[in-house]
Amino acid sequence: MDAQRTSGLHTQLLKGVLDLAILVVLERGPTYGYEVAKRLREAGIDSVGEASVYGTLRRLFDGGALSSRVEPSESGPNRKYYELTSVGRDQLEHSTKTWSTFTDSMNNLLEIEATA
Amino acid sequence: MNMNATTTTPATTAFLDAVRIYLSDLPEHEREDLMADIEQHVAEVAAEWDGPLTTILGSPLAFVDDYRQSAHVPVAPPSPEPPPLLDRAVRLVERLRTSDQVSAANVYLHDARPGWWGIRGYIGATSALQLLTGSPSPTTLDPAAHGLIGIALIALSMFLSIHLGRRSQKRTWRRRLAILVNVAVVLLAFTAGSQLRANAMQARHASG
Repeated sequence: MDAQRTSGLHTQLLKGVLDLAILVVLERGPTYGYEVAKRLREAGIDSVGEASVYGTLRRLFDGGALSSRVEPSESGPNRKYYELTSVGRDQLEHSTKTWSTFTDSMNNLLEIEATA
Repeated sequence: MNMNATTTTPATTAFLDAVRIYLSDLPEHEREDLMADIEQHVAEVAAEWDGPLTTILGSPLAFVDDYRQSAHVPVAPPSPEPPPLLDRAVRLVERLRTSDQVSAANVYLHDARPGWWGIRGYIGATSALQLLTGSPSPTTLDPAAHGLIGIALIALSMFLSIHLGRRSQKRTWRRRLAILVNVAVVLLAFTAGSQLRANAMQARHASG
């Protein structure tokens, strides 16, 4: 598989779990879009577009998983802080379990196939 | 828009204008709510990154497509009768405005603004002095010709012009005032130039 295809697969996989990644970041406390994108980048989740973070925040907000409030910032424009709601915490718990089950299954499969 | 002086540049404005156009099919409250998020994000990126915005954010169209995909917002249906010439013109302008080269040029122009503000103050003061003194030749272009008071007035005008330029980035009413000052300086310079030309013609007739 060449580098381009690997990168494309990486992006697709990340897009599939971006909801979970953002919920995990917000579990630590309320924060704003740019900070979410920055923390994802620092964690190595850097191949999704920055706009995807806002799109996902929007969708999670519309779905009731997040609440938001606007606060003034000394360094520039007002910042919209997002926070997990009880719906968001339930979604985070459920998604984390699903992710763990999925990765365990994939790891098992890879090990079985590698030793077969 | 609610950006401060350190983050509002022609490049950020061009990027945000283009994004707003590509989101024009969304309901106004949804679009403006999203634009507030994007303005904040672009300001943060611009504050931390000196290069072209498109290197970090992608093109405005790609940015909007990415957003729509992740937010599950459908792409706008094409207009039944698109005005091809206008549409092409808008796309061309947007492509030029968001290209790396134009973004880089915008950065240089942005950095050169204090110089332009100084020149605006100089032209305004010398034109006003020209009109007040009614000098037959363009001696007002030489501040020394007006002695200490003339030099002080020109220096004060340049200082005020630069001060206004800097402050006008923060508040809308100051931006409007700056536009009025620009118009006034152009009118002053035009009137002073006309007066000079009339004086020169009069002098030519008198000598002839």
